[in-house]
Amino acid sequence: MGLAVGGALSATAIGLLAAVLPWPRSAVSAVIAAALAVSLAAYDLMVTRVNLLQRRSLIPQEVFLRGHVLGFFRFGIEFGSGVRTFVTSASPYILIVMLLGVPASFTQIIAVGVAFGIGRSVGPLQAVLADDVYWSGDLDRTSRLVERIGSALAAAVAVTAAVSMFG
Amino acid sequence: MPVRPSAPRLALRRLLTSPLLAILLLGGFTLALLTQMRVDWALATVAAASGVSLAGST
Repeated sequence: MGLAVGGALSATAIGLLAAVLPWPRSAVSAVIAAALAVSLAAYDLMVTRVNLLQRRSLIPQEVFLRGHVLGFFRFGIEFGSGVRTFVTSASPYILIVMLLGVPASFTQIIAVGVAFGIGRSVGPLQAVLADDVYWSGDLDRTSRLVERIGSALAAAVAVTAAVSMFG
Repeated sequence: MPVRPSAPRLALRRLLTSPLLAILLLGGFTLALLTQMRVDWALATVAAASGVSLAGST
């Protein structure tokens, strides 16, 4: 729940930013967004570690001092927002570029944020449900591939969105 | 004494809790939507995939 709220909050900020942009979101901005998305995905595929603008801070354990329910809710909001974390894939950046370049309604932008928060919750949920030692090892082996697949998918959506503007 | 799950059960649990499988499933949905030019829905599924792609920073 908190994760989805966190995602929605980040998306609201992006939606507000998109609303005050000095350029209208059009076919031209969609093409520029697609070009940026492909560049970001190519960067992610080429480097061993993504090093883009981010806060690089972890959510402190003190958030749980106010009780479990409130603590987990606040943790969820901060975790789902994607702001207070290490961003190890270019895909969230591609999402932002897409939302700023591709014509989308405010509701759509919020839905994207909620979906991001839900997707963000998959990792911790799997960690809880899985055999912890195996899960950590599995993640170590596959995390870079998972991060790169995320970026490639996001770039594919950006390119298709741009192409669909001319269809 | 805790009961050890059977090998097929353990394998299934490991498969279902794999971030790689999660992103491949979401990727499949996204690509299927893209072939139908349903960019609006693809935006949502790719956003979820983007969230999953950060599983390593859990």
